[in-house]
Amino acid sequence: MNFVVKKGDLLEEKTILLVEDNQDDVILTKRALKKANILNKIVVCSDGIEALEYLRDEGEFSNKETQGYPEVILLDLKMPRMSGIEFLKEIRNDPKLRFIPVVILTSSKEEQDVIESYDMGANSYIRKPVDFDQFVAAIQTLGLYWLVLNIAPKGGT
Amino acid sequence: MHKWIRIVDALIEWAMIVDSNSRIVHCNSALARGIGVAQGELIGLGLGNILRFDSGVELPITLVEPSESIQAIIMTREGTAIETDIRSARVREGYSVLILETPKEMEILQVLDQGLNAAVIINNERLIIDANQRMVDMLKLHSKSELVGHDILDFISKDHKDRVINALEMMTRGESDSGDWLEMGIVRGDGSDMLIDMKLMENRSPSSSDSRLIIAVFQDHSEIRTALKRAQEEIHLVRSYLEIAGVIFIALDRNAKITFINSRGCDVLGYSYDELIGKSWFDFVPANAVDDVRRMFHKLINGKVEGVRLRREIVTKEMGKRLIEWNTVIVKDEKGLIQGLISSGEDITELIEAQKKLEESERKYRSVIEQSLTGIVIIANDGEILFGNPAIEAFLGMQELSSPSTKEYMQRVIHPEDLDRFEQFVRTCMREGSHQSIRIRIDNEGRNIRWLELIGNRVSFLQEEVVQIVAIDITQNMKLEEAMDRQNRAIASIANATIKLSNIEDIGENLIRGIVSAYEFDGGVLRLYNQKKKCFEVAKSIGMNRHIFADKVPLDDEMFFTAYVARMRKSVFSEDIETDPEIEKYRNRLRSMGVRSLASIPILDEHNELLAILNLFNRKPREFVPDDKKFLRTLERGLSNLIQRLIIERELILSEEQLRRVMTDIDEGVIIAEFENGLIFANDKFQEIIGYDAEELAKMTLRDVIVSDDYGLIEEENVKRANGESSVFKCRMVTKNGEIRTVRVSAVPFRDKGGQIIGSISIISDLTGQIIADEMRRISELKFRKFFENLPIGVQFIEFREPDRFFLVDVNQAAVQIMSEKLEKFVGTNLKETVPPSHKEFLEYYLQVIGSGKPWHGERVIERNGEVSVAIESHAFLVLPNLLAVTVIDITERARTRREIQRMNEQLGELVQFRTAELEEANRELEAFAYSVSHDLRAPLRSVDGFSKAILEDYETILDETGKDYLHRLRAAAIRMGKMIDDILRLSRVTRVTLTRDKVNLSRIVREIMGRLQNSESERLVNVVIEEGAFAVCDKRLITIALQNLLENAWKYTRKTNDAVIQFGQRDENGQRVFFVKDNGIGFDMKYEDRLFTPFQRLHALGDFEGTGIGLSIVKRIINKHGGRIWARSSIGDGTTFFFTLSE
Repeated sequence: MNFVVKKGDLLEEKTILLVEDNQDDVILTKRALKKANILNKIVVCSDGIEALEYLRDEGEFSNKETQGYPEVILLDLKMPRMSGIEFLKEIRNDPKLRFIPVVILTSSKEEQDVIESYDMGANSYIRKPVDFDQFVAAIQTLGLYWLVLNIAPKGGT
Repeated sequence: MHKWIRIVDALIEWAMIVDSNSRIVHCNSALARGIGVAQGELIGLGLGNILRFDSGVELPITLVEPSESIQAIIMTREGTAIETDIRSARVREGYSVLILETPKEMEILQVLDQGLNAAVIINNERLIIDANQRMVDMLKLHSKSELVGHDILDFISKDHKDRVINALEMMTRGESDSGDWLEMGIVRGDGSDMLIDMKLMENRSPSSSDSRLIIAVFQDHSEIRTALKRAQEEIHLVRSYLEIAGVIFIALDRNAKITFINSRGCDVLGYSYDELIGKSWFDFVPANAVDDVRRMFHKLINGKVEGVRLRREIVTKEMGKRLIEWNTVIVKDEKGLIQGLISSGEDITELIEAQKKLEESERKYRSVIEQSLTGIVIIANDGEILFGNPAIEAFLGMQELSSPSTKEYMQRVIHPEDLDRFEQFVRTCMREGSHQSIRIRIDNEGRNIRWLELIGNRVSFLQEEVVQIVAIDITQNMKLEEAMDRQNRAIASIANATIKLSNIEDIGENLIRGIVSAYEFDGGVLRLYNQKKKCFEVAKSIGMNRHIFADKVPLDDEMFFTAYVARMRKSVFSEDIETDPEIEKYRNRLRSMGVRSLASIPILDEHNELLAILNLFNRKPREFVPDDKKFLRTLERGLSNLIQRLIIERELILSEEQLRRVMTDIDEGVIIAEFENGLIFANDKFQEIIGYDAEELAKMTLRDVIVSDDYGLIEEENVKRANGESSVFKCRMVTKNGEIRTVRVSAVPFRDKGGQIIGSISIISDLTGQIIADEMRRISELKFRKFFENLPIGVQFIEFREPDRFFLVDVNQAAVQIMSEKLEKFVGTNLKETVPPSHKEFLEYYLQVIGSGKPWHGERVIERNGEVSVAIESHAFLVLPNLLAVTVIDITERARTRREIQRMNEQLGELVQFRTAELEEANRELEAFAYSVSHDLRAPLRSVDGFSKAILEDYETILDETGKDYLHRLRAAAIRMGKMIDDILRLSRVTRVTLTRDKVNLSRIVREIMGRLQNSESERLVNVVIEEGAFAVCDKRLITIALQNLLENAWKYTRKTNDAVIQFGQRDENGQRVFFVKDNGIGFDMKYEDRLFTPFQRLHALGDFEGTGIGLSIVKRIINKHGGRIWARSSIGDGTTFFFTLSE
């Protein structure tokens, strides 16, 4: 099955939050999203702390213009300061943030990571393949599902 | 003078002492108080100062006669004049004592003042004249003056004033001169009320009724109650004393009414105290005795009798009668008038009953003595019988023993043979005093002989030393003893008859003679049954004329008694044919033969066939005791062998030679020796025992073959034989070659044809063998004992005795060495008591062994400072049902070694634990490393690949082909490295995972994997052959990975093969299950086999076949983890087969 996401399918106001400390990966992920025709606004936070501040309009984000919450969070696990798992735990315990779909996007496919992620309420777990082509394919599928097909609970976000 | 002062002071009258000048030197307190002055105030005053005399009286007053008195008036302090009479007495040195007539009220007051009660004196007008200090105190006033002159009613509470008025009126009317106690409220000086009892008493002055005075006495209730209580307690005490004494106390008034009875009296009569008080005593006297009792009561109450002691019955509430022994006295009042009676009585009902019982008992014992079967006789010193009880009279067969002729009579009834002994016995009893006993026969004419056992001793009887003899009739016992004796004699004669088979005539004769004499028959006849003729023929008769018997008695001739017995086939005993109904039919015939009593015994063989009948007779009636009958009945069958032989012999006329042959054939030595001629016969067996042949023996005497030490014994035995006795004894014989043999000899007398004993027949059994066996056993025991003693294993023999005692019977040296020196001390002791508590547990084990019969073993290790000091291994097992053998082995060395190994093992364990910890640490590090690798190592690769791709896309136009190719290579390298990293991680994961074994269907897993492979490359045609039903117990996840790798390899390397075949199966190899994956792919060179399972070793160029070279490493690790083995067979071009096992 091959879904082709056409421009305009995805509402541009739907923000994607990418939490990733590796700048190479940020570039490549953004590139992959673009290649997959996902044109939503992408907000990048380099670790869990920053991402939480963003979501809660704290710190440097206290005056941020965008209102509402991201449509989906793409979350790396291994990050400084606050790991992906800790971040996930944090937002799942926050009544305002708990319904935001979180997709784990990581290099690891260690079982412990997978189990822990789902335990903490991750919605998907995607392992970033070394092969960029495969990565693009994965991102495409991901975008189709979370940004088009998935219906988020109302008011939850 | 002082003496007089004391006397005057003691007087309650007014009194004083005056000197010759009529000056007062002393006055007593009564006078001082009476006139209201202090005692000292009067001293020194002239008499005239206080007294006024009628005219004509001169001082000093001297009154000569004590009866004379003079009148005077004495003035009180208040100025009241009181008339008084004065009496005077001169005492000495001019002093006189004057005693004044004291006014009555003053006297009373004086008394009251000394008493405990508050009191006032009032006059007719109820005015208080005087009061005592207690009264003043009680009313809480300050002085008497507040009372005197007031109406008494002023001090009585208003509710009670009428009461006082009434009481006073009653008194005035003369209805009573002293009233009862009246409860009275009084009003006190401080206004408070008080409840108290008051009693009015009149003191009427004899002179005039007007001057009467009334004394009101007040008494506190509580004091009375206390006093009453105390009194009651005292009464109770007295009563309880009386109760203890168990004596009845009753007080009766003049009308015989009960005024007091103690609780014992109540108990005996069965009534309560209240029920009895006031009742007439006569109600408790039996009707028939009432008149008698009444008469005696009146005698007492009228003073005709002072007291009386008699027994009378009383009637209890339950209408029972009790006999009381009464002791009655009269009670008089102070005037000597009889007020009533007091009786003390003792219930003697039980006593009398006990006496009655004693009497009954006495009577009973007397009757026991009199009616006893035990004769009791008392014999005086001169031999006369003083007393004999009925039993002895019966024993002796006379009516009245204590008649003068008893001595002669006794001499007549005692069996003549026993008379001397009896007289001797009486003398001994008299002399020795202690118990003596003797057995004598009483032979009263015309009666059976009776046996008496006499037990005599000396006693005092009517102040005379006499012999008391208790006689017990032991006739029955003696009969039994005689029966026994008869049996013995009969057996002896049968034995004789048996042995003396040589003379056929003798058999019957000996038999009959033996029985006849043993059982005191007068005669007997043995009839043998002739089976052919079906009749009985006389074999032998004794004691009766032969001609009176019928020669032949046909079995079916009912005329004959013998025929009757024969048909009955059981013994018949008749003590007297005249009275025996069984004999009736044959009575006349038997009577004509002179038979009065008889025993007829049929003799039967084992098939109950008749052989003979033995008839035994007496001319008189006789008695058969049960034992006699029993024994004679045993002859029915006991004699059958004998009779059978007799019959056979009778028919065959067995020669003496034949007889000897019989004896010769016996497997015991038989010898016949005559007293005079020595050995006359010795059978073969005896010759064998003794070693001499018959010829040699014929020249020898018995002495020649007997060990000289035993001569004496043989002599004794010969004497027995000569007396007709049989016996069994042991003696030693010397064989021809000098050996001594111990033999058992059973010998009976040997009689000649006339029945004379002329020697002995002996059966000789050689006991030497047996004795040797005993000796052997003894030696064996010795041997085992030596063995036991020298055994290096400690052995204890412990004997068990019910219920839980263990006696150490024996220990060997080793046991002592191993256990303790003390062990020897325990031998013969009860271990339960002697072993130290630390060893008690062993006794429990021993008990288990005894109980279960199963052996027990255990060890005991004693440690000191953590080192093995002593270690003992112990086994306990049963040797006999109550004998335990307990072995002990010193295992100290073994225990020490074991301890050492244990210690080393512990150290090793520690080491292993340490190593494990290290290994675990390493594993954890490895895991952390793998985790890190999985995250961090791959990220740069993604960048390399991602950006190469970006360059290729974004800068396509400015890159030449070579540039593009380089970038493609970059990407490929990055991707491959990513795969390698994944593989390394997989490998390490396999290593780390823990195995969980289940039963796994390998065939199915193979099928699934092949299915997936087929799907991934559906265009390929591969022949897949899977053997079904390959099961293994293994970790399903891991085995799937292993099979995946192997099958992928096969899939991969058959890619270039036409007609590719991939095969999975199993086979048995040396009993081991071997699985295999076979392909017909390109194969490999077996010389590289060792590299096959090494990570990243590839046998083919990467260009030919993809892969990182890690797959087989993973497979090998999985197989090894299962404890299995993997190997490969391959040749280039022919394909490869991988074999593996999964150790189960």
